[in-house]
Amino acid sequence: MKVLVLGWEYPPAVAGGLGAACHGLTTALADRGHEVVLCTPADGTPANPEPYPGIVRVPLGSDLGFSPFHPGAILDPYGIDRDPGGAPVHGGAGAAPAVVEPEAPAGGPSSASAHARSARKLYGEDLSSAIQRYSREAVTALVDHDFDVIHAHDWMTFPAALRLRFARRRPVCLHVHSTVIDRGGRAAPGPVGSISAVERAGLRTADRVCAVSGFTRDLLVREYRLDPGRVSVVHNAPPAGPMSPPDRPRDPAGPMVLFVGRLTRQKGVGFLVRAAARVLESCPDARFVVMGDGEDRTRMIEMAAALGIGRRVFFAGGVSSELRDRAYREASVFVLSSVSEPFGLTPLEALRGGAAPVLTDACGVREVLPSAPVSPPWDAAGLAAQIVGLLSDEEQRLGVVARCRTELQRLTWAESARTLEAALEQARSTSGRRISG
Amino acid sequence: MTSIVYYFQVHQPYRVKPFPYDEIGSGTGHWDDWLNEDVAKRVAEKCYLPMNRQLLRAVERSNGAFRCSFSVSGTAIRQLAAWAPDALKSFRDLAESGSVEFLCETSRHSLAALADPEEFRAQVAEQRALLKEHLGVEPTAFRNTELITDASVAQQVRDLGFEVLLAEGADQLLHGRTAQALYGMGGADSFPLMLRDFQLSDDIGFRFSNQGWEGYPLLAPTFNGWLESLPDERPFVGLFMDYETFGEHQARDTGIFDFMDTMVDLAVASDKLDFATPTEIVRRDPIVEDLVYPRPISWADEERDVSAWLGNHMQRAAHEAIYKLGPAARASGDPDLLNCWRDFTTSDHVYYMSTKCETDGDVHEYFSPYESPHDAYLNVMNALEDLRRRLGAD
Repeated sequence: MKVLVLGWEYPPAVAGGLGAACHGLTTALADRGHEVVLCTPADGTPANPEPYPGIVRVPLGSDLGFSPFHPGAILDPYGIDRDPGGAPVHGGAGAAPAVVEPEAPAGGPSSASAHARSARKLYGEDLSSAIQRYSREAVTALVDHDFDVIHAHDWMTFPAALRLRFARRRPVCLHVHSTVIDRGGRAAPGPVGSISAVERAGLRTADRVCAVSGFTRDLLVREYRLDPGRVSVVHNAPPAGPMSPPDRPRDPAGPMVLFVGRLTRQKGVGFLVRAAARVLESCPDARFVVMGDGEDRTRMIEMAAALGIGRRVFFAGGVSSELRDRAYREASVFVLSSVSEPFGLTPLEALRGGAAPVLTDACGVREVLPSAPVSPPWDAAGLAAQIVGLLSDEEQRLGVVARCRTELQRLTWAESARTLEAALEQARSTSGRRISG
Repeated sequence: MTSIVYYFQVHQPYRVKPFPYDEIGSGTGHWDDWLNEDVAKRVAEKCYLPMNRQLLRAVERSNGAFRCSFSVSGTAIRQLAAWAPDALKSFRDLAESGSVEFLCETSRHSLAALADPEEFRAQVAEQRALLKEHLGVEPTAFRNTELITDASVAQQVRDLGFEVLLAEGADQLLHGRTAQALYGMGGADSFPLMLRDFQLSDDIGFRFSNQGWEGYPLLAPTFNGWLESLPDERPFVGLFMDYETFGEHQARDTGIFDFMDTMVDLAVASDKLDFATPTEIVRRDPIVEDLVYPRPISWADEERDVSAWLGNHMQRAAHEAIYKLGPAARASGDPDLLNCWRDFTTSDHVYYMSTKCETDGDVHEYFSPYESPHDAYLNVMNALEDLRRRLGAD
């Protein structure tokens, strides 16, 4: 098959899990012998991208830079935003002109700041006009390329995919890694509504839809009224890497419970902080480490202080991948506290380091880790009980790690690409259907 | 005749260095030596040296009729000894002039009087030793950190053998009575209290260069006119302020140095005004009545209470975390660790965590080396966790 992949994030320009998933699936498609044309925003495409056999790179949207002010800008599509108690990300809360930080010298900056820069570039204040440029250029820049099917990742690329579907008469498979409903909740008002409109229109027009999990498929069926038979589930896979020993020698600083993620409402950090207060009642030497930044940072810091557990909860902020990986190897328990998580790669990464995962029942990753302890996100007492169970019984904790690691072994991008391939074939066979419900 | 009682507060904290989470347990130091040295040298240059020189000349010019008092925190004394010995020497010159009284306080400018009486006594003893060693004085008057005062503070100060305690003349305490008289502390055997006249003190300390103030520009004859027009029976007026007012908070080009020079000369020449120090006043004047403190009162912020340091959850969490390490630090037997912990008791660390808005927030922000109160909190909590592990404390 000749596959046209429309992506928004792609290494090295990565702001979240979308980049890793797009990279994993696209390279696995190429490995399976498909010819791939990969389009990414020009700004996120390196001048000389490392060639990958079977992948042709096409940058789209040539001046995808900052405009200081754009009245139609959609702010914070992925919750990458300012925190009233933190250092200003752009020009301070409410400041109109975006202040772009000078590029840090090579080798000097932590990957955390590079990561924040990618996030600001990919989801800057003029995101909506960037998407328009990307979509416009998709038609003109691809006249010389032929392809059998279009595979588009998340709503930023949906308009381009639909234009190409019409202009080139090729079937489209849309891939949903995250919806606006996960990030903002159903009642999110204002401009967020326009993202849900793009998602709804795209998903209902597409010839085939891939969801990153059964959880997301159910959400699409429930919220966007999709026919479940049109949706394939393509799970993410963890990055390849060695497994670290899972046993934890007694740490004089206390056993570590780790959270890694953006501090936004979606990630449910508040529930974790509340659970922490209960955990500390029975495990007073436990320490909670929260890695990541976001609009909830101030509130979470104050909540931990108010609960009287300020001494045992550490907010490490955005950290380098090296520091994060070290924490995976040091932590006894890794908590994914999200209230709505399409997939959730971090528990898989933490498992490699030897941390036992505790998940909420509102995440996709639990479908691939059935052995991981689960609790509803709002149930601080239940979450605390799961954490205490693992902290107080090392044998049980090691058992959970071992079982989850076996489940983890089954997940590969090659396996996911096989499912994706079937979905792309189905898109081709059903193409021509104009509208579907 | 009304006596002018000047008391200038000299203080510099040891600011904590940026202490990210991953440095916990890494064995690095806790203090931002570059910043601390930089600030100490700058303030010595802009304020302490020129103003000390000017005050010493005023003492000499007036044959000792000009008098004033200072409190220099132990953390400031140590920083000046290390980085600006000339400035420390100039304080010693003032002490030797015989016209300048040095008050005692806690050696670390701490909240120990509220949190840990044992530590309070230790820090007062340490401050006495520092004053003896560096300035050659044995203090008889006391000011607690930021003038934080209540009956229990007064009782502790009294038990340590001091003669008088300096305090804020807050409205909520005086209910319309004058601050310009000697009061006693109810509930602490009428221990003598000398109150700050916050109106007249802040005219110099805060409003002097404020162009939006109706009194701007404030000239020495005007100010002395206000002092001379006080009723005759007022024994003294307490003008208490940060010493960094001169040349640092109020830059030299605002005319603050000339104002003080002229003000002193006019007062020395006046037949209605003279100068005195706190110990002179308490030995001279009778106590007019006892005051009842409903809660600790300080000279900070509009509230004049302890909310500048313990006003929000972060501040209380950090305060608690700091004093929780006290027993382990004192029992450690390691003088470096104990010294390190004591520098964490400096009140500035929790002051930077204040989340107050508007004018008071601006004041907190002016002093703070951090981007936000939350950054201040996280930084100090990380550094404290590092110290906790070194101490092997719970």
